[in-house]
Amino acid sequence: MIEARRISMVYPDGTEALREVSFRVGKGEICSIIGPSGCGKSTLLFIFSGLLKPTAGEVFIDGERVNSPRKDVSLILQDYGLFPWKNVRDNIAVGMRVQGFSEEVISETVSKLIKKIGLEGFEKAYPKQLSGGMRQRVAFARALALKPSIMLMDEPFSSLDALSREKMQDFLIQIWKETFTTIILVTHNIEEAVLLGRKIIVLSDRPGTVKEIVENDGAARSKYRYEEEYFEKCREVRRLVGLKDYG
Amino acid sequence: MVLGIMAEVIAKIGFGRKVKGYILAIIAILILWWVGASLYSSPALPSPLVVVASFFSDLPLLAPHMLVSACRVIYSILLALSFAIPIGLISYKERVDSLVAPFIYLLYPIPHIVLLPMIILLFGIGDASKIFLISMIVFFQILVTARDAARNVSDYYILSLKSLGANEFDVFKHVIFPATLPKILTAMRISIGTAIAVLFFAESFATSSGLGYFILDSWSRADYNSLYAGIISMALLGFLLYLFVEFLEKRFCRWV
Ligand SMILES: Nc1ncnc2c1ncn2[C@@H]1O[C@H](COP(=O)(O)OP(=O)(O)OP(=O)(O)O)[C@@H](O)[C@H]1O
Ligand SMILES: [Mg+2]
Repeated sequence: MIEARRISMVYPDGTEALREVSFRVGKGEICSIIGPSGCGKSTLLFIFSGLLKPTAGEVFIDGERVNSPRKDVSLILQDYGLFPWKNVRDNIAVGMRVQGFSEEVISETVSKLIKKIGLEGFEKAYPKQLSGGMRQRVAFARALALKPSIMLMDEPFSSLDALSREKMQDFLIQIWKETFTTIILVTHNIEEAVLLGRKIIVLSDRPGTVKEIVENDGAARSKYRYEEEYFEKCREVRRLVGLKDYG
Repeated sequence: MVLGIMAEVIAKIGFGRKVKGYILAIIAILILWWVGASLYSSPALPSPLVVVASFFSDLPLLAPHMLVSACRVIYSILLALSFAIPIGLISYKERVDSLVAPFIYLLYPIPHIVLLPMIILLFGIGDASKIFLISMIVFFQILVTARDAARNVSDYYILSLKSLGANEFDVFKHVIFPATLPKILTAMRISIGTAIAVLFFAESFATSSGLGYFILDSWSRADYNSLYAGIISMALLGFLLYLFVEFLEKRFCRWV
């Protein structure tokens, strides 16, 4: 379980990014965080990952306070965080390398993952030679290689076209069903937040505060995006977010 | 003949498509030179054909000088790299940089070549002082580039790696070094030119070996054919080093 307790973040230059943000995410749950641009969503994920210390408040994972990156937490950065100087294989392997897995284990795991994400034949390609969707899948594979119990994703699908986006959402659902990883997913997109998040945290304008927490039991069902309940939720969240925020 | 050898070297290193360009450039330079020599018609500017011929007839004499010069330059560059790269790259850390930067700002703008008397007093007139002089100059060129490149590596990549549980050494190995390598290699290319220029200067005194000595000696004997053969050898040395850096770039910076 992940718990945020009254997290506030003021950057050294005085920018107040977050104010007293509190919520919990249960084990194996997908939680969407939605909010206007610049409201502190990425900041929040950095704090969850242990890369950034909040100026007040704290994060607990399974009862332990987070103050540095944890091995069981993977963060997929906005724009994927792939290294342009590493090919697909090495990008996927880098997490395992820094965590000291043996080359044998790494090689086996990476080969399996490349197959799983359908990038056979692209092992030696560099990120700039890949499409957005392929890069996204490499970033996924890199996170999955570490078999995390928690995945933090920052707008993972925002730069994809509608079609690849739906494919990747289904891929994420499939992975989640296989692993029951706890997932916190930041998004700009209301439909995506509703499709994936059993819990939807709606943040306010900067400084980000929790405006509403929407329970969404149908989330991550295979055909959810065609169900009436889904459209209903989308309308609800759209109302909560308020057009003003997106004006 | 020279063309043949050069083309072979280039081809071996795997520049198939570039070879044509190199050959065309060499031919163009030789033609220009030949035209210049015919117009000027003085023993001080012999025609390329004569020079190439004397290059080969002098080769047994030239080869040892070339080898000595090559060793001096290569040692110097390696010595410079082995200090400049670690110091430059570790400056990506603000705390290290605040220590390193003042030294760079104070010491880099000095024309290091004027330190020659001091270097000779400290290291004697042998190879040590020549290598020290060359590597000091190259050191600063590479250090400044490496430092700037390291400081420009986006925090984004560092955070991306740290989120995977990386320590400082991993950051260095997986992010800072590969990210700055293209810039370092560019700096190396520039340094080769500098190193050879300084080499010439360093070999102009207190030695009887090296291409610089060979050139000056031919000059003083007014043996212009040998003089130009020496110049060609120096150019060749630079060119080969240059090719080697290009090879490293092709091999390790394919991502650029
Ligand atoms: N290192 C920093 N120093 C100072 N201010 C920062 C820093 N990083 C982010 N900010 C500011 O904090 C606020 C929140 O930034 P953050 O990146 O968390 O927003 P976001 O919700 O992820 O935005 P987006 O939707 O555009 O990705 C913004 O106003 C941003 O300009
Ligand atoms: Mg963001």
